[in-house]
Amino acid sequence: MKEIKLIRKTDIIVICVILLAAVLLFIPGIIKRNEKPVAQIYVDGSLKHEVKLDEVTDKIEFEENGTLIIAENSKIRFETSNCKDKICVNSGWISSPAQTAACIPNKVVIVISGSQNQIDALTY
Amino acid sequence: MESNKSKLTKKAKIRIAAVVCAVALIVGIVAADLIRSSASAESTFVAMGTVINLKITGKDCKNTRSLVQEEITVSENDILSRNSSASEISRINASAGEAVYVSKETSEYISRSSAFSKLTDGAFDITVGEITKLWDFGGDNQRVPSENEINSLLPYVGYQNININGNAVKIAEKQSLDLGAVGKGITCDRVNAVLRSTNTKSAVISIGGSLLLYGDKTFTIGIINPNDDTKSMGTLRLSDTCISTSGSYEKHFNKDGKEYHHILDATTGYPADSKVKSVTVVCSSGLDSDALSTVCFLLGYEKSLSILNEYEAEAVFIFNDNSVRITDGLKDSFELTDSSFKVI
Amino acid sequence: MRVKRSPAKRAAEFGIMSALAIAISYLETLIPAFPGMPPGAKPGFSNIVTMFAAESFSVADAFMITVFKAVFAGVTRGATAFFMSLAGGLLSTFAACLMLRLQKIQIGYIGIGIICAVCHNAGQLAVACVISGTSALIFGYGPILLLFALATGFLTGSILKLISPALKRIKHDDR
Repeated sequence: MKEIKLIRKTDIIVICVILLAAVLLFIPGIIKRNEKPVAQIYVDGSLKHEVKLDEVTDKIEFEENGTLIIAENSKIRFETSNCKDKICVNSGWISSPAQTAACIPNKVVIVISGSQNQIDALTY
Repeated sequence: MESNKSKLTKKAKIRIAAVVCAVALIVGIVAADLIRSSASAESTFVAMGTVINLKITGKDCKNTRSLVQEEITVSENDILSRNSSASEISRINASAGEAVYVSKETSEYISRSSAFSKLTDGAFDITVGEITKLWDFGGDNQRVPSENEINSLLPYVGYQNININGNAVKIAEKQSLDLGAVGKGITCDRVNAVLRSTNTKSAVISIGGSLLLYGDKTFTIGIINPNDDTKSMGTLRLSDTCISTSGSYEKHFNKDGKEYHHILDATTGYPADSKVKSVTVVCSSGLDSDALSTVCFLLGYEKSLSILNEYEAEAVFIFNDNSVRITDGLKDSFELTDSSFKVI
Repeated sequence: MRVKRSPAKRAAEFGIMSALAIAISYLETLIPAFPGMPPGAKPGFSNIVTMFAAESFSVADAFMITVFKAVFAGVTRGATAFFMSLAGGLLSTFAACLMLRLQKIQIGYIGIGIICAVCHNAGQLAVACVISGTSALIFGYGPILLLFALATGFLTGSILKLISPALKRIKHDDR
């Protein structure tokens, strides 16, 4: 039987390819970083709320499928959830485009997108 | 046997390590460059008697931001200001009746601005400043001046009396220049020139609502709702251009049931009445877009079209009855977001 | 080369491996989230066991262990955890078997570990997208999970190399 080494050339290629893939996947996030954050709350796969985070100062609450989501001071998070793993709650505050928090058991996902529809400047 | 074959020699190990380091280095440099060139700097401050907002994206954006701020200060204090006695406009006004030597740019700003006076038969005039002072829109003493007061000042209003000879500018006695109608646009143009000398990828500069869009990035620009200046009535998707808006909503007051707004017809000395609430002009030059927004407001829709054409400018007109007219070049990039307006 | 095993020994070995995988994956859930770690992501040390099983026992054993682990996750943490564990586990076990069986691919433990970890995360992410119906998760979690898999795969691969002799003793002791 073939003895397996700890590391070989192929491994290095694998590492490089994955590193490259990760960097490529990060690019949309980096590009969107300067866009204004809009938190999109998906419930059961459909977009239910859109919150322009930079306009949020006072606390806004959403109750969806057993989760409590709060938005405050340009940030948003799962405050509580009735799911078992609490991954959603442990995700903590998110605030910038391409960040995500999800409660998969309850089918509630918060995605922060950079909005193109938002106004960059006002002419007056 | 196979394991022997695959055993790496020391040399091969070094080679592999070198390849890994090189790839890591390249990935790192590319990532760092990407992050650096997408870095952005913002700033909001008060200057030129208005709110200025800068959003600059690109390498060395913080440095660029200070350069832009500096340029705005120069534009205000050294050229445009009527308050700072050292500015070129103040020097011209202080020596009314005599030729004053100014920079080439300033003499060009003045001649380009007076060109609009010719196009409007004097309705737009950068020598109307003294009458504007009488009305004092937005000031502590805003009022409707008496007919006598206005008539006594009207003779001193007249772009024909501005005499430009190379860098020497001479205005008639008792005349005074006020580049208020073009100052924001001029500053946009000057900032544009500064940005071109930097590594800026994109920028949006708002000088009191007159905008400079810099770079290839397409920005979404809101047009203010003239009925409620906390909202926008529609958006334009634009890149690499200047945008200016003039409207009766800006500075206005009500006296004895009559509305008075701050855009004066220089031939009468009274607020212009052209059935227009606001005009937004898009044009590659800041000075032109700023001047044209006022010109279009003064002339109304029909008379403005040929002038817009001449300057390769586009415009959005909002009329008193909330109807909206958009010139052909902007129809695709405009989106109405407030249904109380109707595009016709 | 494969050692012929009695059914009893096979059952015992399988039991030990399954127990090990389940214990490790349970212990992982106790690791508190630290900053920078993608929420819900686990180091995936139980992959060490399935990789070992795939290498030293049989492909069938490796898949069975994966299914057992998923059932355990389902019982203790709910249906979502079951599907996530199953999808991630099956995909990573499949990848491990493929790597090990394809003699032509000269790949080391670290490479196998990384590919397993990436497949594991990809499977979980795919299930998360299907369950929540939100494909936007791919860009939200994808890149960070990929980097995380790189680190954990490196770790699990190295650990497997390290403890492989010890684990093999379970198999060879009675010879």
